[in-house]
Amino acid sequence: MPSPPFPATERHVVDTNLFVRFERHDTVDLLRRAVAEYDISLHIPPRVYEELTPDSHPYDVPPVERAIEDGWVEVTTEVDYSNPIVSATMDMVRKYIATADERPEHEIEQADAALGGVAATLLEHGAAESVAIYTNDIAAFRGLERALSEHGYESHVRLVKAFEFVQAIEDRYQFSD
Amino acid sequence: MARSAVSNDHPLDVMLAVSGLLQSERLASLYARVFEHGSPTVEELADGVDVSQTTVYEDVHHLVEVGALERVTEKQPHRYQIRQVDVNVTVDEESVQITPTLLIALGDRDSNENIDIYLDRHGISGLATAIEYARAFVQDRINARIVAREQDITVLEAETVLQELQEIIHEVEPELPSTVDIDELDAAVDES
Repeated sequence: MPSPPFPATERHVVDTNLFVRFERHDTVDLLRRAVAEYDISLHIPPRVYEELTPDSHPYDVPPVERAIEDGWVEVTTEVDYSNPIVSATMDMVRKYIATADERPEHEIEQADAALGGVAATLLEHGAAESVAIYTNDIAAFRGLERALSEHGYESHVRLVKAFEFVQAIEDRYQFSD
Repeated sequence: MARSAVSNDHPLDVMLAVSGLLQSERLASLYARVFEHGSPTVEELADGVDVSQTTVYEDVHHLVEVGALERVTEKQPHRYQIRQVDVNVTVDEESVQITPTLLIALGDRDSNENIDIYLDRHGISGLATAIEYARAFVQDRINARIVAREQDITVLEAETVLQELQEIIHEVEPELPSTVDIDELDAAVDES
């Protein structure tokens, strides 16, 4: 048996860049099969859902919309901004994005840190013990990892590098039925 | 014998040669195909395209003359490679860089729907701007959300074109470092 492509976390939270990669390669169906094989589901923050379904999109039905209808992608609950650990995590993520991207921090919107906010909310509400974050935004992930480790969640978040993950799924499922 | 424009290395000659490539889809596509094949012959370049071998021969000849391609063999059948063009155009305060990456992305529009759509919407100048962002994107120094805001496009459109260009940049500019140094990033955040 090849090793599972998904880390053994309770939740799997996916960023826009991962889904766009599968859409561009026309391999969303391979992701669906991988998700079914391991009997998990993927979660996206409302912000990511909005980004994947803009008013003017090039499809009849955006692939993420179909995935939600089919039940293997779920939109997560909103971020709990009132929780201090959630907001501290999001601030740290913004700081990391601003530093890596050489932009003033006020240009980074709080919603840009949605993935960090969702991970912190899930952990703080006890909805999950462990969360994997699928993204290509290394700076944003480092920010959320660092903020959460300051609050005792050091080993509770895992980074899955989006483009390497896409490659692994495509290699494994491309030529199998 | 016709003088090679680039053998003079006069910037104006180089600029004229490059502007010919930018204005001709057929020439840009030929330049991109030469890159993708490595060092093809005219026959290989004519294979599978909707242009006659005579036209391909003439186009290759023209691109060699203006210095965009070079012949790399002594004996026939000759093989050709792209030459590195690097033109910086500055008008008033604004400047743009014309590089092989831009020419190859442009030449790919026939086979790449996302680049084709982007060019229709934003033109060559928009694509040149997107390539500059994509270089930072390859190095994890920008994300699509910021590009979307700064260029007033949707995140989906920004992410899509950045990913398309990222794959081209990996091929054309393999020397570009491909990730951030986490320790340096931590230190920079702590200092800020």
